[in-house]
Amino acid sequence: MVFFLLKFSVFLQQLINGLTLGGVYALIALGYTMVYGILELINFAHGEIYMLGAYLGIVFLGFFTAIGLTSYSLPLSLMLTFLLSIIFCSSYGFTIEKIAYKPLRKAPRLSPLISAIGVSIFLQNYIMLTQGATDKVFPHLFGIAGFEFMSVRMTYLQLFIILTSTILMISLHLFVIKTRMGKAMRAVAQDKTMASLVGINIDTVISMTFIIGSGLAAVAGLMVAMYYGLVNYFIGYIAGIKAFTAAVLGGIGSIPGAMFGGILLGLVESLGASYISSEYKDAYAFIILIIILLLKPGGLFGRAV
Amino acid sequence: MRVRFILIALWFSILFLPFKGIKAAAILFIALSIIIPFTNSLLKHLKKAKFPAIPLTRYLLLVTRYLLLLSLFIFPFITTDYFIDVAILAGIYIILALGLNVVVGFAGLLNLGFVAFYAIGAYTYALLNTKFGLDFWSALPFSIGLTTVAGFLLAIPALRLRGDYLAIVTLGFGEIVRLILNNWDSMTRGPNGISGIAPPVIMSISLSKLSFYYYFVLLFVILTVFITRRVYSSRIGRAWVAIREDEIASSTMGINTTMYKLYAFAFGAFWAGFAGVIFAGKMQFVSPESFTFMESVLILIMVILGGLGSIPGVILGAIILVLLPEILREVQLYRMLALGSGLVLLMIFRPQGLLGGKGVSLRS
Amino acid sequence: MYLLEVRDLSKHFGGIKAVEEVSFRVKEGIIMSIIGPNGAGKTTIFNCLTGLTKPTKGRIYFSNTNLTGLPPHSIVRLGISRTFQNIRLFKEMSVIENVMVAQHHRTHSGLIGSITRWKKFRDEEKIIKEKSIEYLELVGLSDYADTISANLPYGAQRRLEIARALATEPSLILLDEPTAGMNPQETSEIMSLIKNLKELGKTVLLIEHDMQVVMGISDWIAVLDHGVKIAEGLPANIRRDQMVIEAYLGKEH
Repeated sequence: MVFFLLKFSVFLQQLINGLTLGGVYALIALGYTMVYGILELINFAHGEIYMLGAYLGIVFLGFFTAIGLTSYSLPLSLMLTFLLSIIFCSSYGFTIEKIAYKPLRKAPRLSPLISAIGVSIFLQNYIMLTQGATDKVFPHLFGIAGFEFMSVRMTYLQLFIILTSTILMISLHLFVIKTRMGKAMRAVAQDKTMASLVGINIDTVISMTFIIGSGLAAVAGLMVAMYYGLVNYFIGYIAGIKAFTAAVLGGIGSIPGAMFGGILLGLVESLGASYISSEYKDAYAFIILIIILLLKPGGLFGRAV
Repeated sequence: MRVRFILIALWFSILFLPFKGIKAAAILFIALSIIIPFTNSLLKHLKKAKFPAIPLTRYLLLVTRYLLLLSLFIFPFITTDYFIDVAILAGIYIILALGLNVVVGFAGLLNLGFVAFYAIGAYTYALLNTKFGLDFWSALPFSIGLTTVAGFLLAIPALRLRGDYLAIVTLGFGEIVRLILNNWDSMTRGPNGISGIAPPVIMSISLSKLSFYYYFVLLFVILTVFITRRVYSSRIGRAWVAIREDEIASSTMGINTTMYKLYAFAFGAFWAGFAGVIFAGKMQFVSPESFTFMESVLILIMVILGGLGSIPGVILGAIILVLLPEILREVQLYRMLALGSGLVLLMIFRPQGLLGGKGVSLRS
Repeated sequence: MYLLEVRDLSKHFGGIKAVEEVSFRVKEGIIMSIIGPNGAGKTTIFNCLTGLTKPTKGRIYFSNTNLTGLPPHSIVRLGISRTFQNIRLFKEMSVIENVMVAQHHRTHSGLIGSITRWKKFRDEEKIIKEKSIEYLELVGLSDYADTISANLPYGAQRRLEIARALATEPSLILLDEPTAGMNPQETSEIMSLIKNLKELGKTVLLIEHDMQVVMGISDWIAVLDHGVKIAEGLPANIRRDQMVIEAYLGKEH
């Protein structure tokens, strides 16, 4: 009986870890899925935006700490850090679209994809050169303070991450369904020509998509930096592949799909790492990706490709 | 007009600010304020004067070709070991690029995991040699055969996918191969790699001497160019170009597009495996580090830069991309930055590369 | 006698019934036209006939062989070829290369042949080239053999597409709006070309909007409207058919 409870609590623990990870993946995956829905482009550089968010978090927090704001009020400092990271990342996303993707809208499909690879390489090395090739540390603010229930432990940080992801996902969902811009985005995703004919400004919608997607990625990056305490210029690549897998899993182009896929992937990775092998942790995403693309490219929820 | 440029410069400087500080951002601002209007007017001038396709008259081409061939043969006698090394590397990359050229340039399939085949060829030779004592010539057919089979196996499921998905699947494949090579310690010795690989032996002369190896590689490069040229200007090559131009139309003209895309994949894998064996024989050491995604991207850039589907273009692309880092040793750090931005610029301004594009046709 | 037999062909795209239970037969050696207002499903039928689309229901028999569901290249091998409404030439290939490619499935040289260039290969290439020039002469484009096809004027491009379709050595040729966008001079040239095809023993199935062409060269006409066949018969009868006239105002030149 005790053995069972023990097993169960391990499982529950991994569940919590998985949900934490999953929330992050979902936020990044949303960026991929939204851009793909509108442009049919796999934004290779999106993972790098996430990485930028993490680095920006460190930079801004460092700045606020240096001017004494953090010791004065930690929540304020954090909030400003989040805000600034989001603003900057959204700006980066917006700029990238204008420079590297917009000129290629009429080009054959593979051209913007290759361009995206170029942007990804550029950003990785941009950060490597400006911020150093070694890992950068995110200040430990929360420690492992948490609480216990049902013999599992959840840290406040994990709670924060799960809550933030959930709130953002719900907000995005409402945004897309209820607001004018959200409806415009859905219209453009369905039929660009028609949307422009009814007076929707395609450029604005596309920019908006990148801005929102990048903002979500920024939050994800920041939270991961807080969670693991360590960042390097390569985390974007790995997280990018995983988040893309999540998006495909849920059906690329589908927003609820990306959310579902992200959470599912997080769970699979946590459980897999704990029950099977943590060495090949990163391989899981690749394997799932290939299997899905080969067997059911439309994902679990998506439209047939 | 001017205000617009200043604002753009300001925008980028602000984006740059958090990463390097105010001073650096200010310098960037000033630099951009000068550069942006300058490049803008430069572009305006360039747009008016279209780049003419390099007028290569038949005679000029012939003379250049023979001159080049001559210099290739006397090369090792007139340079140092360092350059011979670079030349050998260039040769290997030429073979790789020619292989990828078939897949991307002809059949139009974006293979982002091409390096996996390179790795399979290299590691197969490494293992056959160090574990079973097979020499270069005995191991060669096995390695190439295995790689080609791998090409087939990957292609069969992958070809059902649309272009961008195919790209991602091949990327995944490439990474999985690398991860396996890195983690399967018992077989591949993981990150430590396999060393002590014997170089090829011809008539009981071991080719460990650099200049010998140079001629060895040169011969193989010539062979590769010869074979690929012949295949390109044949019925098979025509079918490939047709598929690239318009897959639907080619299927209604009687071409079994799926089968030919498979052929293209396997054909490309063949050359990658070939290059891999040559690589292993030269370095006498292999490790997963040489077979990253960046390598795949590098080879892809060679093909695109040179011009999809154009053999001389691809050779040129390979040479440029091997020479450039050597020439620009000073600014080595910014190499990747240049690569990334170069890729974007290439796709926007000259997607057909240097020698490719309109007018590339095949002649029997 | 009946080269092609289409039975109850239906193609649905989700809720849209592009083609609904269309049946007709094509006698060997005739020129038959399929006409109808835009969106009537004509090109969809062509796509089903050539294997680009899989029919939802129904069957297609060609020389008594059931080709429903076969891939396009197999159908070409059986002897059907086509041109496209929006011209799908191999743009960066030269004129003669476009025609040479079309002979792909009638030739056999493989990898080894291409590399060694043995006699079999060289002979075959020679034959391919000679035949290609013949086809080009048929459509009047032999002077342009080495021009890049994208540089040809519009009318010449359409003729090239016909030459290319001919080069697959079909018994049935499907022409999708071959005179679209042409002036009267070019149109009559195409009309004589099509009649020429008939003399060569080919059976021609034609989608056309130009009534002068349709009435001028067709031996038989089928009329489609909203995916359904509403009339079929001799040109003279179709011209008078009430339903056809109601379905759309024909273009009288």
